[in-house]
Amino acid sequence: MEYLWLKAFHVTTFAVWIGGMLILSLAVSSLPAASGGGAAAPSPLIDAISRWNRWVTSPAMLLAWVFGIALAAQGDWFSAPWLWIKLVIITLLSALHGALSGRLRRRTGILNASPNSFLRFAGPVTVASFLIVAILAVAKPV
Amino acid sequence: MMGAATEDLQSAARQQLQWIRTASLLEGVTLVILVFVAVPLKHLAGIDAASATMGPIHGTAFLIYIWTLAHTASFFGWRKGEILRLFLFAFVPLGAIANARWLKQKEAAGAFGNSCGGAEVPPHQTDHRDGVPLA
Repeated sequence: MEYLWLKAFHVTTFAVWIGGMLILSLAVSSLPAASGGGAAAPSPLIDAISRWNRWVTSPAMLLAWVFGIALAAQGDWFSAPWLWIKLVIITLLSALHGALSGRLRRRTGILNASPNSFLRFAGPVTVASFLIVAILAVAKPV
Repeated sequence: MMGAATEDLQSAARQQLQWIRTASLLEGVTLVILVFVAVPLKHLAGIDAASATMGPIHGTAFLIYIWTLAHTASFFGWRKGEILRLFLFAFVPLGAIANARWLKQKEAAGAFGNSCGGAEVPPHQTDHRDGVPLA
């Protein structure tokens, strides 16, 4: 596939992934904290976000990886330092998305809330990561 | 008696463990092929195609594993040490075997059963991690 087409698909899927992560981080922050008792009250909005995450955000993330790796291979970028910094950030961002998805899937008050407390900062971390990734990919400072 | 919501969580917990075992196996197999087949072919036989193909495939499998690990750890509320263990073994060729064994033990111990059924286990009767009732 032509490089510019790959780039267009990569940018699009990445934008959809980041947008979905911001919605997800808001949804997770609205979930009840550790309660240890009783299932969470059903919420149509949370259900809709969960479905969106499953059918749109997660596939977009997977496609962003695939298009990104294809771009790096086609453009012979694997020797560039900026790409490796970007890959580390993308790996962390993927882990953050996984953690948010897992927390949303669980729904009910998790008994051990402390390991997930960092999820409070998921929104700002996502925005900051997006900014750094955009600078690395567009300006290629290193 | 378990409620419908708890049964759903039990089922989700079992599925979650299956996912991480599959992702771990996928990551482990691609790493073994990369390290023991593709890299030797590149350096000993001068064939670049194998590593050029396996590199991106393993990279994707690694990302899938990291995503699944974070998803599963967040779902169960695993300890940092447990997450670190599963993460570090992903870098070791054949480490997936140790991870598979550990996950099997976790499943056999039934730790996830009470964890996902946390709705019916009061916090003061659990170890606050996996939700396993204290002896």
